[in-house]
Amino acid sequence: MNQEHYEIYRQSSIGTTLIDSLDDLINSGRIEPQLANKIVKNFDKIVSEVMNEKVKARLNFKGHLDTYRFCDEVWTFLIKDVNFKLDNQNPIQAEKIKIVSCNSKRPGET
Amino acid sequence: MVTPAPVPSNVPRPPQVSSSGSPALSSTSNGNSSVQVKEEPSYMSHGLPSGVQPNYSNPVAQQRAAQNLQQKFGQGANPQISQLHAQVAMSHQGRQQLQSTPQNIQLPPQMTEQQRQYMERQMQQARQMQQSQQRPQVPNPPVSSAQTDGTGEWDDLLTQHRAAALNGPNNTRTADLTIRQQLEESSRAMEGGGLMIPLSEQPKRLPARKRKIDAGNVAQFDGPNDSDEDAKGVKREDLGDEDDEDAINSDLDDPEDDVVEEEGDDSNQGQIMLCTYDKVQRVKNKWKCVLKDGILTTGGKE
Repeated sequence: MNQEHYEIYRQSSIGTTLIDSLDDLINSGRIEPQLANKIVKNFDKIVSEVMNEKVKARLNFKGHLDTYRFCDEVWTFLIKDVNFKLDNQNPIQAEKIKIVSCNSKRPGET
Repeated sequence: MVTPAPVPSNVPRPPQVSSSGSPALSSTSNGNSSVQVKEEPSYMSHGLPSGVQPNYSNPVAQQRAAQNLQQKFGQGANPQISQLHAQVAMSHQGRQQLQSTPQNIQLPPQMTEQQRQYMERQMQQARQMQQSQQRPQVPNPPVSSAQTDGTGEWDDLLTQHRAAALNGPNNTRTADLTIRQQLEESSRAMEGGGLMIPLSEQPKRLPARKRKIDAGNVAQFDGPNDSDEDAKGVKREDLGDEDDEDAINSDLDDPEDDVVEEEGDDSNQGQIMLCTYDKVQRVKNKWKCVLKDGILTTGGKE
């Protein structure tokens, strides 16, 4: 339970919407901030678990690496003119993509 | 009103109903229950004119319903059962009294012991009916009177419930009012408060919330203190919160002359992939990354 999980997925759309909703609830005095904190922590945990166990989708991508940095065990890439190839869908083109990547073998995480 | 109806509710029904030879037992009981039982022997005896029989399809159905109720709800169903009995009994009293005379005339030699009892009881009932009320001997009015009897009880129940409800809702009313007040206040806070912060500030708001929790403060402080706490939250992240890459990056970006790209990042916030890495290799210009558990957001898709 006390295991720490990455919080990066909070930046995803589902995470931001969840946090927005929780914020609404807090500001309207309907839930305690502590509860919201717990919910978000649970969200971190569940998303990590689901990603680990349930998601089988794969994709390859190629592009021009614009910026890279590695700090505190976190890689950040800025890639331009990226081409994503998904499993069985049309490839996706993107002008610019930012990749934020944490270490999958974090010492705190198993 | 009709007194015989409610009284037999105390008498346990199903035994009487199930045993066909029981009318002798119930001969001493009051009028209504005897009515209920007496119909069975006559139903069993086929010497009666066929015109009588259709009347008994009803009591059988009623008895079944009563049995069913009893099985399902046990003692709790007694009121309903009694009501059922009362209604059907009433209607049959009316009908049987209409038919009793011709039966008496036509069938004296065939009468068994049971039938004799049955006839006697019918006569008693007829007397009772005449005594209690000058009820017309038409099937419908007795039914309606039985029903009004039931509704009378129901009305009593209703009035009781309403009286209780009048006391209860006072509490819920006040609760509703307070909830409504809270909602109105919250809607005001939504308009004026710091809720409409752009999504890009989300990660910064999280640590702010943490700080609030640490301080044990409540949501009221959310609005006014937001900006200050945001700044503090960022500082915290700078000091070494490993998980919030965004803050760390923004901190590191500035010395690295990536200011322009940083702005670009803010503009296309959606273009981001969140994932974990297994392995990052570089051979000269070629990078090879093995990433896992990623959420890619681009072009409005995810």
